[in-house]
Amino acid sequence: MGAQHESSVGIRLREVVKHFGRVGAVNGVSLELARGQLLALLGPSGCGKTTTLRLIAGFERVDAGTIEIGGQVVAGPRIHLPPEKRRVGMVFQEYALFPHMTVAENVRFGLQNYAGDPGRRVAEVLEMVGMQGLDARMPHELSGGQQQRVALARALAPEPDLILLDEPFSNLDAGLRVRVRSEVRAILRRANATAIFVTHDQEEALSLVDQVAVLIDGRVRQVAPPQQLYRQPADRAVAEFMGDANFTPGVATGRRVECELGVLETQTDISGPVDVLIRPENLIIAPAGADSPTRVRNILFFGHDQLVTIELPSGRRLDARMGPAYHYAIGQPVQARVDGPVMAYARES
Amino acid sequence: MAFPGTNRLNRPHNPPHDPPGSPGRRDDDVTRWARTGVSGPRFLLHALAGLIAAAMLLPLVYLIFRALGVGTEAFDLLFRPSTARIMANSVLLTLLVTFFSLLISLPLAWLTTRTDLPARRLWSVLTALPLVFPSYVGGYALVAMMGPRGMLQGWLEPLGIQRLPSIYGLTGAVWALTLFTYPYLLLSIRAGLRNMDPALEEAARNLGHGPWPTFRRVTLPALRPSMVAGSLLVALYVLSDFGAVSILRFNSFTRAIYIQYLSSFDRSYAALLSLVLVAITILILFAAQRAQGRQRHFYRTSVGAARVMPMAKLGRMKWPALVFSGLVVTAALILPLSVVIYWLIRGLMAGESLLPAWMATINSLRAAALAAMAAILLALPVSYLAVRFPSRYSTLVSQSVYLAYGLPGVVIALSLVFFGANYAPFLYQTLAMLIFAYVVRFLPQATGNVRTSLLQISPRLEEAARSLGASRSRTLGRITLPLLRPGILSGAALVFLATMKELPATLLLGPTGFTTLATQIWSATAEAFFARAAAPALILLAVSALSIGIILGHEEGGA
Repeated sequence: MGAQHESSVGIRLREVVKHFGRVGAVNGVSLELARGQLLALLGPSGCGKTTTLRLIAGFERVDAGTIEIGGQVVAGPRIHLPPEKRRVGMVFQEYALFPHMTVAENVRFGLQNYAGDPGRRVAEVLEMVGMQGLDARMPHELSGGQQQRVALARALAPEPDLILLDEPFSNLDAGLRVRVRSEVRAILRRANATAIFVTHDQEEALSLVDQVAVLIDGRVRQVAPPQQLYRQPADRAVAEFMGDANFTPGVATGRRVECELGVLETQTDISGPVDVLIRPENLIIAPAGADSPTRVRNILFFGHDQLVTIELPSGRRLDARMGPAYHYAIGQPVQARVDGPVMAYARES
Repeated sequence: MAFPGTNRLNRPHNPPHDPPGSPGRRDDDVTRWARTGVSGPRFLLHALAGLIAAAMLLPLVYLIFRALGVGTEAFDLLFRPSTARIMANSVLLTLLVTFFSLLISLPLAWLTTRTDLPARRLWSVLTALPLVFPSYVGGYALVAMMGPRGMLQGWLEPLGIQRLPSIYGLTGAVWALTLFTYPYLLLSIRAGLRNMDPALEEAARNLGHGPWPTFRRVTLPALRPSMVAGSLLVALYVLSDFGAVSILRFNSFTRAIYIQYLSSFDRSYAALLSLVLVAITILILFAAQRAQGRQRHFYRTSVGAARVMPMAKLGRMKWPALVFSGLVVTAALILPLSVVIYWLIRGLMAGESLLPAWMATINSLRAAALAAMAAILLALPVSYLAVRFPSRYSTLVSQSVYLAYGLPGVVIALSLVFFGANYAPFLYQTLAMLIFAYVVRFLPQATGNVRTSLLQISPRLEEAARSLGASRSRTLGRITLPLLRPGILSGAALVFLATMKELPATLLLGPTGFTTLATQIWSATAEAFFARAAAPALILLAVSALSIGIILGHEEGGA
């Protein structure tokens, strides 16, 4: 990533706290995103992602901490800039298109103080999202994917400093979702927008953005580019949340860890009793003679891949992911090894 | 009034370096405001809604105050034999009407929903239609038909029959109230039958029970909640009804209160009686609410796709079924309607002027339009508070508004008469006071509709408008109000139509010489000028049909 210049910071959250009654929805979230970048706010449901988004948009007031957008403090102790003054565009989960206005009127709604020609801007953003010619339609005459694009066009039209998208693809069916997702990314790139997505879908987060922030229990556990996040999760909770994870106990010294699968190389320096993270796709198995104590215990065949559960001599079960061509039988003796350096986390006593 | 936070942006500001406690007290206050999220407009809304709620509570509070003022003498008054008689009358009337309504409604509900009765759809509309008779119109029709100088006697006189058995008293009141309120129970049972899971009956049949045991042991128990809820509705109506009992001269609570108010020098007794009536009403309301809550439990046995209900074949039983339905519709709909039309024609032929009816219509329309507008204006803040800022406070506000809904109209009117005469003589017997009484009575109809509409507007829409740069007021004007229009219109329509039909408050609070359609029917009937009441009655029936159409349309749409 490299060091960011102060002026290029799109948004910065410092120790933001929000309580509802006695429940802490957001417990000190800090984040920073460079201008023109896309960030996904990822976490299980109820982790505070949507609240964080609403705090940024100004629909909720922060209890503590500050939020800066484009260098201006918009929320903090004794400061609450109302939503209409924040220059933050929002795409809602249910799109929230005004049902009594046409597509063009919806998009034009945010252009009341627009410096240029609002009519031209409406045409421009509608073309950007591929909705030209549909400007006279009413929202209920549009498909889900089209509504999604109008919502995006409406948010982009006033050229906000920041775009927020709250679970924007969750209302689309699976087939449409993949297509709309890459379209939306292309549109945001073209508009050079700074954007934050909220999602609980890891695949969506990993495939869409430059940075992923994992939010668990109202705290940001890790902010990293997708690849790094998957390969080097900061802690066990993040590793378990991001994809399938096997854990096996071991003892680490420096860059080596000894566990039931032998001595493995670790990605980071660590010592003492640890839990070793082994992704199913990094667990390689091969058929072995009848004397091998490791056995296949279960097979889940998905088509494009399969998940084979093996049982180690200790009784510990691990999942291995492999292509559909391999054929194993339940009870078959196998041998297992681990591909590449692993992550290890100090065991909590 | 400043919005905390917004005007502070221009100040030099550096939050992380502020030592704790360094800002002055003012700043601390603002911080607390910002924290609890109470801003200027929001505070204003809370205060306004609270004021409205307080105004709606005024009649009840003043009544209690007034009754308490009686002191120890209250016990003597309450335990007077006449009080016991009034109480017995009311209870007897309520029980009899409810019983006969059930007797009519249960078979009718079943025949019109679950059998192959010929022209079933037509019957199902016709049997619900008596709902259009305001009770005093029904009472008028009955007296104009069977009473002294009525239609029947006019026909029989040439045959030498001088006196018919009296229609006044319990018999007439039970007759009129049963025929014009049983549809509440009918609709309730029908809803119960429609929402019942057909699998229940199929299961009973599958377990070896015949059609009759299945009905008795499965269908009937499943219907009990809707029968209870519907019966309570009928009972509530009977207890608070003023029109029918006063026209048919039956001394139940509402008529006794009215007569006490008219004739007695000391009005404390009327206040006490009102309070007793309120207590009984609240008890029934409470029971009705609980019954309705349980009803919901009973219905939702399966979320599976709706199936077509199995229809019972009537066979030869078709004929008695048709006769029964025909008798009910004749007695409750065709006869009273014919009587009104008969008197209209007779009046016109005798040269009866339509001018009074015309004046009354104008008065009714004017009062109803004003009441509808006032009710909507007050409903908006109350509903907005309830939907957008739910809290214990907003619940309290909503409940205060709804409370008046359960109060008999004659009680509200009487309390306002006392209050006006004692504290606001400049308002007493003015149109403004009357409109206020209407609003107290019918505001819940407006808030109900506005609320339902508001619930359908996602707060996300308002937030979307704000994030697109629209201020609070622009959001209200461009998004919230336009989307709220259907609710505002139907709420206004309901209040308008209810006001047109209102009798007791108009009678007690109307300015001197202010006749409406309702008061004209009432006084003409009292003086046996049946022809004079016919035209207003027909106009009111049309109005009433409209309002019931709206209500039923809503229920269809909501289901």
